[in-house]
Order: sequence, then C-alpha cells, then structure tokens
Amino acid sequence: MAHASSPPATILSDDQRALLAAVLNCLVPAHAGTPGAGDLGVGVLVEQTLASTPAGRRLLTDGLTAIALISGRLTRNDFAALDADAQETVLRAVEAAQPRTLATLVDYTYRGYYTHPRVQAALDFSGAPAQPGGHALPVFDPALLARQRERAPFWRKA
Amino acid sequence: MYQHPPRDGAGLRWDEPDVLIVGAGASGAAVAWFLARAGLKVVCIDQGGWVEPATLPHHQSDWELRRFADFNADPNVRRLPEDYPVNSAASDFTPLMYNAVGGSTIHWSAHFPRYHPSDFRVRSLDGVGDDWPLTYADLEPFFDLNDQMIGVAGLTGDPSQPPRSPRQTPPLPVGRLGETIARGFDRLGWHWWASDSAIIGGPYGDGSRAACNNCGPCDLGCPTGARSSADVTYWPAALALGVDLRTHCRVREVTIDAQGRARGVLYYDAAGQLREQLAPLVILAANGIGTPRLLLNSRSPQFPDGLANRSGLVGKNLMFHPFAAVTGVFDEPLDSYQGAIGSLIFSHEFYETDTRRGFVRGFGLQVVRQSGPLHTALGGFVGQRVPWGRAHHQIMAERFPHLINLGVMGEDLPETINEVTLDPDLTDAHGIPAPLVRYRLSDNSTRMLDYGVARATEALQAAGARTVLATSPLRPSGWHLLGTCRMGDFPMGSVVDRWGRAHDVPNLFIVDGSLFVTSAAVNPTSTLQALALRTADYIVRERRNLGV
Repeated sequence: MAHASSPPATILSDDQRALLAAVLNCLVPAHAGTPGAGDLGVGVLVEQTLASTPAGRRLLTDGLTAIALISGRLTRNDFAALDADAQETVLRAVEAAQPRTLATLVDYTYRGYYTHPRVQAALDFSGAPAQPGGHALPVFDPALLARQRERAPFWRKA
Repeated sequence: MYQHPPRDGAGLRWDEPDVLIVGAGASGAAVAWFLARAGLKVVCIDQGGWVEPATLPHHQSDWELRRFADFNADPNVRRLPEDYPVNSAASDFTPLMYNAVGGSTIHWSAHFPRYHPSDFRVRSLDGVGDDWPLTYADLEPFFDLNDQMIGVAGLTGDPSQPPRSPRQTPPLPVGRLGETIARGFDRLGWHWWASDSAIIGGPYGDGSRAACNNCGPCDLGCPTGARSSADVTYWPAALALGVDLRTHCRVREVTIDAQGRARGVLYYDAAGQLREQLAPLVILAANGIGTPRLLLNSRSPQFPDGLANRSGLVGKNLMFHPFAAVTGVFDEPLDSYQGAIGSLIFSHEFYETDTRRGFVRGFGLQVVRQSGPLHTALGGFVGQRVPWGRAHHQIMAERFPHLINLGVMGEDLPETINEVTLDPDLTDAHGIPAPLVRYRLSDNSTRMLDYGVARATEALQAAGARTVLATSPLRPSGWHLLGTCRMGDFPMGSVVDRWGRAHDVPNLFIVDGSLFVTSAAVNPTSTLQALALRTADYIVRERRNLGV
C-alpha cells in the first residue's frame, strides 16, 4: 500500500472521510462481531494508497463526489443517512455509471480488510504470517496411488 | 532463513572471458555452472539483482499485498527498475516473467514435469507442429543431472511417463485438499500422480537449504531455500567456480565483427554507463521474449532484420500454454492454503491426441491450491471477485478455505502469426525498444480448452464439489514463453541448430525457451534446463572447434 518512507498522503476533508467510511461499511459490512471495513479503519489505507498518484487522487475525490450526487438524486438524502439497502442501491448505480471507480474502491477495500489482523483472526487464517511457522501436513502416503499402480504404462512411444 | 552466499569479491572479474552469458535465470545459471566446472572463464550479465530472502513477503502478516505489487508476475504491474515494459495489448495471454538472479524461478511454483517422448515427435505422430532434432532419450542424462543438481521431490512409477531415476526426496504432502481431488480422479478411473516438484521435501544437499515447511505462497519466493530456484541451486556453485556474475546490467545489443561473428555485447552497467564486454562465445538466456527482442535490437548491415535472423523466424512461432482456470467449491473446509501452492498432484489422462475429442494434441490438469483470504476475495485462481455488499460474507465463507483449483494447460501449436517484434514507440528506461507481443488463441486451442474445462468440472464434481467456477481462457497465464528462436536442422526453417547454435552466427548460442520446437502440455523448466546442460556439454566437447 502507501510507501513507508514518506509521510502518508492525505487529501480528503473530514466530511469526505466520513463518507468514505460509510461507503466502505457498505462494500464490506460488519459481520459476526467484526466491524465493517469503514469502522475498521480501512479508509485510511485506501486514502493513502490512492493519494499517492494523480490518477488515484482524482478517482477517489471524483468518486466520492459521484456517490454523494447519485445518493442525492436517487434518495434525496445523504449517503451516510441511508439504510443498508438504500446505500447498496446507490453504490450499484455508481457501479453502473462509473465501473472503474467502484471496482478500484472495492479492490483497495478488500486489500485493507483482508490483511487486517482482526479479520485474519476472525477467519482463523493460520497463514499470516506464512513464515517462519509454515504448516504441518501429513507426509505423502504412497498408498493413495494404489489404483494408479494397477494401470499399465500408457505413455506414447516415440 | 536461507542465506545467499557472500558475494563481495566472490567470482573473479573476467575482462577476457571465454564465454559471455546474457541472463541469469534457469537456463543461464545451469550453463554458467556447467561451463565453469569445465574450467572455462564465464561472465554472466543480468538486468536484475539478487532477491534477498529477508525481503520476501512471507514474514509479514499482510504478505498477500505483495502479490499485487512488487511480486506480481506481470512486469507491467511490478514496474521494478530491472523490469522492461511489454506491449501485450494484442495478445490473448499476458506474458509473465521475473528479472533477477534466478530469473522467473524467483516467482515459480516449481511444478516440475518433463516433456513426454511424444512431445519431441509431434509432426511425425500427429501431422501438426514440427519434430525436434533430438529425442527424449538424448536429453535423459541431462534431465537426471539437472534433477540431482537442484533436488526434486517426487515418486517413480508413474504410468504416464517413461521410467526415471529415483527422485531426490519424497513427494510433497498433498493434504486433505490433494486427497479429495485424488478421490475424484480415482472415481472416474482417470490418471493422477504426485507431482515432480523442484522443491526439496526433506534434507538434501549441503544443508544450506531447509526442507519445505508447507507455508504456501511459492510464487512469492521461498525464504527457506526449499524451492530449487536457480539462485539457491546453480548460482552458489557457479560463483564458487569463479563465474563473474554482473547484476543490474542491461544488455542493449549483441555486436558483431566484420566476419559476421558475435564480438560481445554492449550493456548498461549498474551506474548507467554503457560498456562493452567482448567474448569469443556468446550465449543468450533471456527468455522467449527477451532473447528475440535482443536479437531484433541487434541490427547491422550484415543483419538488417536482426542478428541471426536470415530465416526471418526470430520472434516468430511464439507459443504460450493455452490455459483455463477451474475452481471447485466444497462444503467442507479444506487445508487449502497449506502446502506448496502449485505443485502437489496432476493428471495426464488427456495428454495425448485423441481426435475423437475434436482437437489435436492434449492437455494436463494441474492441481493448484487456494491462497489466502485476500487473493480469494479479489478473485482467486479464476479471477472472479467475491461480490461486495450484503452477500459478501456469505460468499466469502463459502469460498474460504473451501476451494480446489484445476489448471487446464494445453499444448500450443506454433504459428508464425504469433510473434514478438519491437514496439515502434515503447522503450525501457534505457531507451531500448520494448517488445510487442501479438498472439491469437487458435481454434484448436479453444476447442481443447472447452473440452478441458468440461473434464476439470467433471473431476471436481466427482470429488464432491458443490459448485464449479471457470475462466477460459485465463489471460494472465503467460508464464511459459516458447518458440521464438526455434531449433531445427534446416537454416531456413529455424534459428538455431540441434545444439542451440545460431545457424547464421557460429559463435552465438541460445539456451532459453525461445528455442523450443513444441510447447508440450507441461511446464517447461525441467526440459529447458536439460536442454541447456546438453548445449553446455556440447560446447565443452567442441570448445577447441569453437575457439574457447
């Protein structure tokens, strides 16, 4: 995500950040005691990553503007004030109008969410980190190949 | 954690080497070792550097992120300083490669099958493609040498292959995932066998490499040194024999003398200075895109269409492996992210031609494990993203960790319309014209993949999958870059002879995948390295005639 050696870029106002958090909560809602992606703080990483390039900055700010406008047009209400069903309806409309914007937001939301320690623990994902522990698996049992060993060689002579 | 050998001062600096190798990957490393062992003075140049085990992602809890950044297999995504851009907009498959000491074995899943004997006689047997000017038997000693040198896990007795020498370590564990899909194959009466894996499953060698501990993401590197990539196998031995390996040096062109013989290369060193390295023998090992690119960039009055290209075939006959991804979703959780991701079991039930299927040649089914939750959410093996919104968690719970993947890898046939040329506008960071790749999936390949997806679906269902997802073809699957400087006995139908020696330039050899005549339906690295060792053996035997 954002490069560690330079100060993380921030480009959003407080209102925009609140909207982004609401959007992320809709993209990946709260589940089984784990907060939604917005409440989990994934928006920080989404903002820092997209803010690192001019194209990313435009996509993020223009995308949030589009979400606000479409929410107002469809519901006459702010996005954050909508219930979950209405929020999803708004984002589906944004997806239809600006598929790349929504796809990018989803992509970076998933990146921040599924690498969050709390989510990894909730999933019982024992592969984070992958080393030094690795995984203990039973050694290969040659008996699994019993039926295959009954087969005559069938490679093609040439 | 594995430690690369000390390199400060390691290897002598050869100003007048016997041999100059371009590319420090799977084949370049093997050749460098073999020639140095025979007493030749060897310089090897690579545009990449050493990938230090400590910099690999595996020790961080967010390691999955690196698969989409600096460890992505696509150089156009990675964009590291050692990468060059590849214009693949006109290709049905995205070329994938890694530029480093070890080459594409750095992001390798190490599934390590050999070509079948029939893969060298495709024209004679099936009337398509071409025959190689050599046989499986010619390569067998070099297959064995390579296996001994690098360490291969596996089990002899596979009825789909000729008998072979014992594997260096037992097969890797297949886990509950492997046993599940194996039951599916058995229920159908189809072939399957434990993979030959270029990964040591137990103690092997001098003890500097640890046995595999089943951590999973081999494609992001191997911190323990268990995976038999060229940087932990051939390179330590080659450096100990005095090979002068120059990293972060990008070759611009191969130069020739007035007699049309290769003089050496012009290259940009790590500081960006243009330098020349002369050598009486030049060997190209820059992969099936890099080598034709280099030759096409090496124009001269004697070779106006590119060096060694009087046949017009440099860059032509590009072959990938037509590839489809199929995923079975199972009700029960599997240990699906535990174990080497791409090397556990495979099926060659449909490997050979049976024209009743509606296509010629065949395909293999390679079992591939699932990776972590992020990879799954972003689409996993089939590239089908888990939907966002209210349905997200339910679908994610269905998929993680409940997936078994089957890769349908088909044999490609050579066609001159599939090619690597030079892009008229795109260049790399040194201003060297970038490659432009044109590739169209053939009708034969399309029919083959359709059939293969149906068989993979059948196997997954026989194993108990509730749902099957498929993506065919899978565009980001261009791992294997073959055929672009093909081997043959006749100069007007090939670029190099049966020893990899350029027909047009007697002191120029090629040892990478560009010389392949057929693609077979298996991963090429085992055969690639065997061919490289055979060429190196020829060079040693003929060194006097070759002037080295």
